[in-house]
Amino acid sequence: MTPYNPYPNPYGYLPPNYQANIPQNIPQQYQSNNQIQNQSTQNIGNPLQISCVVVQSEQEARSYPVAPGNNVIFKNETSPFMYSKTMGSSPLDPPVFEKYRLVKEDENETAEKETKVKEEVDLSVYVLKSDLDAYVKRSEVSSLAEQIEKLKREVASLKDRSNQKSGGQQ
Amino acid sequence: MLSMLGQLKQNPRQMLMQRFNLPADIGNDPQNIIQHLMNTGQVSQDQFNRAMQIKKMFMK
Repeated sequence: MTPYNPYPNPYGYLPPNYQANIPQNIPQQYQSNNQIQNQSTQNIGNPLQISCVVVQSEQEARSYPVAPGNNVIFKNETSPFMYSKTMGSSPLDPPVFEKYRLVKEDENETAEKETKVKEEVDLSVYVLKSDLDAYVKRSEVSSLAEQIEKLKREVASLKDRSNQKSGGQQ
Repeated sequence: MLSMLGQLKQNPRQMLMQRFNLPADIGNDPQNIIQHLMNTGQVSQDQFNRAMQIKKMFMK
Protein backbone atom coordinates (compact mmCIF):
# COMPACT_ATOMS: atom_id res chain seq x y z
CA MET A 1 0.00 0.00 0.00
CA THR A 2 1.52 3.35 -0.99
CA PRO A 3 1.44 5.95 1.78
CA TYR A 4 -0.53 9.17 1.31
CA ASN A 5 1.72 11.88 -0.14
CA PRO A 6 0.42 15.46 0.05
CA TYR A 7 3.18 16.65 -2.32
CA PRO A 8 3.12 14.52 -5.47
CA ASN A 9 6.38 14.25 -7.36
CA PRO A 10 6.14 16.42 -10.50
CA TYR A 11 8.89 14.44 -12.26
CA GLY A 12 7.23 11.06 -11.94
CA TYR A 13 10.55 9.42 -11.17
CA LEU A 14 12.41 8.73 -7.92
CA PRO A 15 16.08 7.72 -7.75
CA PRO A 16 16.63 4.21 -6.36
CA ASN A 17 18.25 5.43 -3.13
CA TYR A 18 15.60 8.11 -2.53
CA GLN A 19 14.24 8.24 1.03
CA ALA A 20 11.03 10.08 1.68
CA ASN A 21 10.99 12.61 4.52
CA ILE A 22 9.85 10.53 7.46
CA PRO A 23 8.60 12.67 10.34
CA GLN A 24 10.84 12.45 13.38
CA ASN A 25 8.08 12.35 15.96
CA ILE A 26 6.54 9.01 15.10
CA PRO A 27 4.01 7.88 17.70
CA GLN A 28 5.55 5.52 20.22
CA GLN A 29 3.33 2.57 19.33
CA TYR A 30 4.71 2.55 15.78
CA GLN A 31 8.26 2.99 17.04
CA SER A 32 7.99 -0.03 19.31
CA ASN A 33 6.47 -2.06 16.47
CA ASN A 34 9.41 -1.14 14.25
CA GLN A 35 11.85 -2.09 16.95
CA ILE A 36 10.24 -5.47 17.48
CA GLN A 37 10.32 -6.07 13.72
CA ASN A 38 14.01 -5.11 13.54
CA GLN A 39 14.88 -7.38 16.45
CA SER A 40 13.01 -10.32 15.00
CA THR A 41 14.84 -9.93 11.70
CA GLN A 42 18.16 -9.61 13.53
CA ASN A 43 17.59 -12.75 15.56
CA ILE A 44 16.99 -14.92 12.50
CA GLY A 45 20.16 -16.78 11.54
CA ASN A 46 22.04 -16.23 14.80
CA PRO A 47 19.99 -17.90 17.53
CA LEU A 48 22.75 -17.94 20.16
CA GLN A 49 25.57 -15.42 20.26
CA ILE A 50 28.20 -15.82 22.95
CA SER A 51 30.05 -12.57 23.39
CA CYS A 52 33.36 -12.03 25.19
CA VAL A 53 33.83 -8.77 27.03
CA VAL A 54 37.19 -7.57 28.36
CA VAL A 55 36.95 -6.28 31.94
CA GLN A 56 39.43 -4.93 34.47
CA SER A 57 37.99 -6.47 37.63
CA GLU A 58 35.62 -9.13 38.87
CA GLN A 59 33.30 -6.44 40.19
CA GLU A 60 32.98 -4.95 36.72
CA ALA A 61 31.95 -8.36 35.36
CA ARG A 62 29.46 -8.88 38.18
CA SER A 63 27.78 -5.53 37.59
CA TYR A 64 27.71 -5.84 33.78
CA PRO A 65 24.07 -5.85 32.61
CA VAL A 66 22.98 -9.04 30.86
CA ALA A 67 19.71 -9.47 29.01
CA PRO A 68 17.35 -12.28 30.08
CA GLY A 69 18.23 -15.64 28.51
CA ASN A 70 21.70 -14.44 27.54
CA ASN A 71 25.21 -15.45 28.51
CA VAL A 72 28.23 -13.16 28.52
CA ILE A 73 31.81 -14.32 28.98
CA PHE A 74 34.36 -11.93 30.48
CA LYS A 75 38.12 -11.94 30.25
CA ASN A 76 40.00 -10.16 33.01
CA GLU A 77 42.86 -8.22 31.44
CA THR A 78 44.69 -7.69 34.74
CA SER A 79 44.62 -11.23 36.19
CA PRO A 80 44.32 -14.74 34.73
CA PHE A 81 40.60 -15.19 35.30
CA MET A 82 37.55 -15.58 33.14
CA TYR A 83 33.97 -15.10 34.25
CA SER A 84 30.61 -16.16 32.94
CA LYS A 85 27.34 -14.43 33.73
CA THR A 86 24.09 -16.06 32.68
CA MET A 87 20.63 -14.62 33.12
CA GLY A 88 17.55 -16.82 33.30
CA SER A 89 14.72 -16.47 30.86
CA SER A 90 12.79 -14.38 33.36
CA PRO A 91 14.15 -11.02 34.61
CA LEU A 92 13.23 -12.14 38.14
CA ASP A 93 15.64 -15.09 38.04
CA PRO A 94 18.94 -14.35 39.79
CA PRO A 95 22.00 -14.26 37.53
CA VAL A 96 24.44 -17.17 37.64
CA PHE A 97 28.03 -15.95 37.98
CA GLU A 98 30.97 -18.33 37.53
CA LYS A 99 34.67 -17.70 37.89
CA TYR A 100 37.40 -19.63 36.08
CA ARG A 101 41.15 -19.56 36.63
CA LEU A 102 43.33 -19.68 33.55
CA VAL A 103 46.33 -21.99 33.81
CA LYS A 104 49.09 -21.72 31.22
CA GLU A 105 49.90 -25.04 29.65
CA ASP A 106 53.52 -25.63 28.68
CA GLU A 107 53.82 -28.08 25.78
CA ASN A 108 57.15 -29.58 26.95
CA GLU A 109 55.90 -30.12 30.49
CA THR A 110 52.72 -31.80 29.34
CA ALA A 111 54.72 -34.11 27.04
CA GLU A 112 57.01 -35.07 29.95
CA LYS A 113 54.05 -35.69 32.22
CA GLU A 114 52.41 -37.90 29.62
CA THR A 115 55.56 -40.01 29.20
CA LYS A 116 55.92 -40.31 33.00
CA VAL A 117 52.34 -41.46 33.30
CA LYS A 118 52.92 -44.00 30.55
CA GLU A 119 56.02 -45.32 32.36
CA GLU A 120 54.17 -45.53 35.64
CA VAL A 121 51.32 -47.45 34.11
CA ASP A 122 53.57 -50.25 32.83
CA LEU A 123 51.36 -53.26 33.65
CA SER A 124 54.15 -55.82 33.47
CA VAL A 125 55.45 -54.51 36.79
CA TYR A 126 52.11 -54.93 38.57
CA VAL A 127 50.49 -58.04 40.04
CA LEU A 128 46.80 -58.83 40.09
CA LYS A 129 45.12 -58.72 43.50
CA SER A 130 43.85 -62.30 43.15
CA ASP A 131 47.38 -63.49 42.41
CA LEU A 132 48.72 -61.58 45.37
CA ASP A 133 46.08 -63.07 47.67
CA ALA A 134 46.90 -66.56 46.48
CA TYR A 135 50.59 -65.86 47.02
CA VAL A 136 49.96 -64.62 50.55
CA LYS A 137 47.84 -67.70 51.34
CA ARG A 138 50.53 -69.94 49.95
CA SER A 139 53.22 -68.22 51.98
CA GLU A 140 51.06 -68.45 55.12
CA VAL A 141 50.47 -72.15 54.56
CA SER A 142 54.14 -72.76 53.94
CA SER A 143 55.14 -70.87 57.08
CA LEU A 144 52.60 -72.89 59.10
CA ALA A 145 53.98 -76.08 57.63
CA GLU A 146 57.49 -74.98 58.61
CA GLN A 147 56.32 -74.26 62.16
CA ILE A 148 54.64 -77.68 62.36
CA GLU A 149 57.86 -79.34 61.15
CA LYS A 150 59.83 -77.47 63.81
CA LEU A 151 57.42 -78.53 66.51
CA LYS A 152 57.57 -82.13 65.30
CA ARG A 153 61.34 -82.03 65.46
CA GLU A 154 61.25 -80.55 68.97
CA VAL A 155 58.77 -83.20 70.13
CA ALA A 156 60.94 -85.93 68.65
CA SER A 157 64.06 -84.61 70.38
CA LEU A 158 62.19 -84.37 73.68
CA LYS A 159 61.01 -87.97 73.26
CA ASP A 160 64.58 -89.09 72.56
CA ARG A 161 65.83 -87.31 75.65
CA SER A 162 63.14 -88.82 77.86
CA ASN A 163 63.88 -92.28 76.42
CA GLN A 164 67.58 -91.79 77.11
CA LYS A 165 66.83 -90.70 80.67
CA SER A 166 64.52 -93.68 81.30
CA GLY A 167 67.16 -96.09 79.73
CA GLY A 168 69.89 -94.71 82.04
CA GLN A 169 67.74 -95.16 85.15
CA GLN A 170 66.97 -98.82 84.35
CA MET B 1 27.31 15.57 19.94
CA LEU B 2 29.02 16.67 23.15
CA SER B 3 25.94 18.53 24.33
CA MET B 4 23.94 15.36 23.74
CA LEU B 5 26.44 13.40 25.81
CA GLY B 6 26.24 15.99 28.59
CA GLN B 7 22.47 15.83 28.53
CA LEU B 8 22.59 12.05 28.63
CA LYS B 9 24.93 12.10 31.62
CA GLN B 10 22.89 14.68 33.49
CA ASN B 11 19.46 13.25 32.90
CA PRO B 12 19.62 9.87 31.14
CA ARG B 13 15.94 9.07 31.69
CA GLN B 14 14.74 12.30 30.07
CA MET B 15 17.02 11.79 27.09
CA LEU B 16 16.19 8.12 26.57
CA MET B 17 12.45 8.61 26.97
CA GLN B 18 12.44 10.28 23.55
CA ARG B 19 13.37 6.98 21.96
CA PHE B 20 12.42 4.21 24.40
CA ASN B 21 9.49 3.29 26.56
CA LEU B 22 10.57 3.91 30.13
CA PRO B 23 8.40 3.88 33.25
CA ALA B 24 8.14 7.20 35.07
CA ASP B 25 9.46 5.77 38.34
CA ILE B 26 12.62 4.19 36.96
CA GLY B 27 14.90 6.94 38.26
CA ASN B 28 18.15 8.16 36.75
CA ASP B 29 20.44 5.24 37.51
CA PRO B 30 21.93 4.21 34.13
CA GLN B 31 22.39 0.61 35.32
CA ASN B 32 18.68 0.34 36.14
CA ILE B 33 17.67 1.93 32.86
CA ILE B 34 19.87 -0.38 30.80
CA GLN B 35 18.65 -3.47 32.65
CA HIS B 36 15.04 -2.38 32.07
CA LEU B 37 15.67 -1.83 28.36
CA MET B 38 17.20 -5.30 28.11
CA ASN B 39 14.49 -6.98 30.16
CA THR B 40 11.80 -5.47 27.96
CA GLY B 41 13.64 -6.39 24.76
CA GLN B 42 14.05 -2.80 23.62
CA VAL B 43 17.84 -3.23 23.55
CA SER B 44 19.57 -6.52 22.75
CA GLN B 45 22.71 -7.84 24.45
CA ASP B 46 24.61 -7.45 21.21
CA GLN B 47 23.62 -3.79 20.85
CA PHE B 48 24.65 -3.10 24.44
CA ASN B 49 28.01 -4.86 24.01
CA ARG B 50 28.73 -2.86 20.89
CA ALA B 51 27.82 0.37 22.69
CA MET B 52 30.20 -0.54 25.51
CA GLN B 53 32.97 -1.25 23.00
CA ILE B 54 32.45 2.19 21.47
CA LYS B 55 32.47 3.76 24.93
CA LYS B 56 35.78 2.04 25.74
CA MET B 57 37.25 3.30 22.47
CA PHE B 58 36.34 6.85 23.43
CA MET B 59 37.67 6.44 26.96
CA LYS B 60 41.14 5.37 25.72
